[in-house]
Amino acid sequence: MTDDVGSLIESSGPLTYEKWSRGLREGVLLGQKCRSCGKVTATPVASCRNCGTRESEIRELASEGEVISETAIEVPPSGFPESYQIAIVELEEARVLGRIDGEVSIGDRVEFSDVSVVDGDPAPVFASV
Amino acid sequence: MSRASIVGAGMTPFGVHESTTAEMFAEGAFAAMDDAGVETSEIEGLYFGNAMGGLTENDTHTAPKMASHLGLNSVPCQRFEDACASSSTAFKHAVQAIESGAHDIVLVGGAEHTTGQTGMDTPEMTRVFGSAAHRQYEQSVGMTFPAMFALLTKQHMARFGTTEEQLAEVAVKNHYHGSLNSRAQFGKKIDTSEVLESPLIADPFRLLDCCPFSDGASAVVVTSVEKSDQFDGEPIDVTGVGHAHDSVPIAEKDNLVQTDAAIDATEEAYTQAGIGPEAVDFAEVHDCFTGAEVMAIEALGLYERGEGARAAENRETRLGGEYPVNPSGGLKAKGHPIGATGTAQLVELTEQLRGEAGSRQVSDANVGVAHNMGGDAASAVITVMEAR
Repeated sequence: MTDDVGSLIESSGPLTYEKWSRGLREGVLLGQKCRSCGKVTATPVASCRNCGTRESEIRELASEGEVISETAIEVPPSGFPESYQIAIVELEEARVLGRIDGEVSIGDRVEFSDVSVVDGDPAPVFASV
Repeated sequence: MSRASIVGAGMTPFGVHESTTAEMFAEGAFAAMDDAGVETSEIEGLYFGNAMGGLTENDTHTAPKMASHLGLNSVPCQRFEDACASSSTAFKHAVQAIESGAHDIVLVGGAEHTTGQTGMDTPEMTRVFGSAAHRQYEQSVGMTFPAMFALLTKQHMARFGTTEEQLAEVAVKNHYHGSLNSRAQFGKKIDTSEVLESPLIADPFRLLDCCPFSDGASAVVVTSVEKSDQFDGEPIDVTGVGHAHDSVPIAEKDNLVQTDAAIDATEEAYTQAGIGPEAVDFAEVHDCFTGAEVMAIEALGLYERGEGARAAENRETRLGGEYPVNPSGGLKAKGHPIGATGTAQLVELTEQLRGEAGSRQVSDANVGVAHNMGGDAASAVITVMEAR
């Protein structure tokens, strides 16, 4: 873990998009854990859907997980490649949507391997373990 | 107990319209008003659905524009944007306004262009449709509208053994229904092999698993049950409207193999109406993709979880079957002009429950359900309507 990522996790205040995307660029998937019920989400929310608590802590998520569902997109939006696969990946504590490098099926093990950037917006990329 | 009544229903054909959004909406709205026999001066408010006009046509603040074109004079009017459920959420608020006594007669409808009339090509329109996905955590990944339902459908296939052939049967059935509907965008029947040989869009969905880009408008006139006998149009009662949401982004949903928003909204609507799924004679459901219809009829309780895929295969949801689903042709064949879709479902329910649906009439139609979803299964509005 780089110092930058360590300081992100230690930083006061909630997980924001800015911290989440900075984490991605540093090679770490950041999520948040509710300080009351312990629910973990892989993307920032202002309040826990489970219990309504606003206090949460930033945590580093597992970099490896399982493909829960996937689809190969053959008709992309403008700005994206001709075809690519996306998947919902179950990390140990939370799920996240990401792009796939290569080809995967439901049940495959994948790891966070890269960041794709389209129009300046970063997204996690996963590849088969 | 009935919450409100629909006394007029009308819509344009769905397909390609060169007319402006307001011109299109006037065609649908006047059809509904003429059906009810109401004058423009009697309309006390407009509840309008339009999802993407700001992105596709640089057209916002559309409600007063529609009202002005219709000749309405200083009435409260509002536009609802809830992706593909826009005119259904407009309808929900209209029913509440009638129920509360705030208004006696209101107009509810929607209009939208999504074909090449917008000047946008397929990649640009795919991006616009994708705007319903989470801005930061889904759009950046390249999420598309078909991909949202493909992710849910792939789970359904993995969990329950649903097949591409079964999905194709949904498209075949809805095209058959569309062939009986003069307002449907696709009036042509198709067979299973045509679906399975059409190009992939987002697997498992092929071109013919997907609803088309469409232009069109639809509208209904809503009034109180007490006043509903004073109109030309035969009143059809609204006995339940349920509305719920589910998490965005899709990865945060509790369940990826079913549509929880629709399940929750169905329970609310059935409870209001005092019915269960066994009372439902037919349904218009949100079949933006074939897999979406499978999950819709499960959410409505017409089929057990995981059993929905056999419905079209066994012809149970075809006209003449146990539960006719999408007798209009659905989004798949009738077309899906986003903001117009919700009230177009109510137009079909009204015509079916009046017994005026002609060659696509559901026999003994007394209770109909409309199932309308928005975004990545994140909004659901379920409406129960009943003949008297």
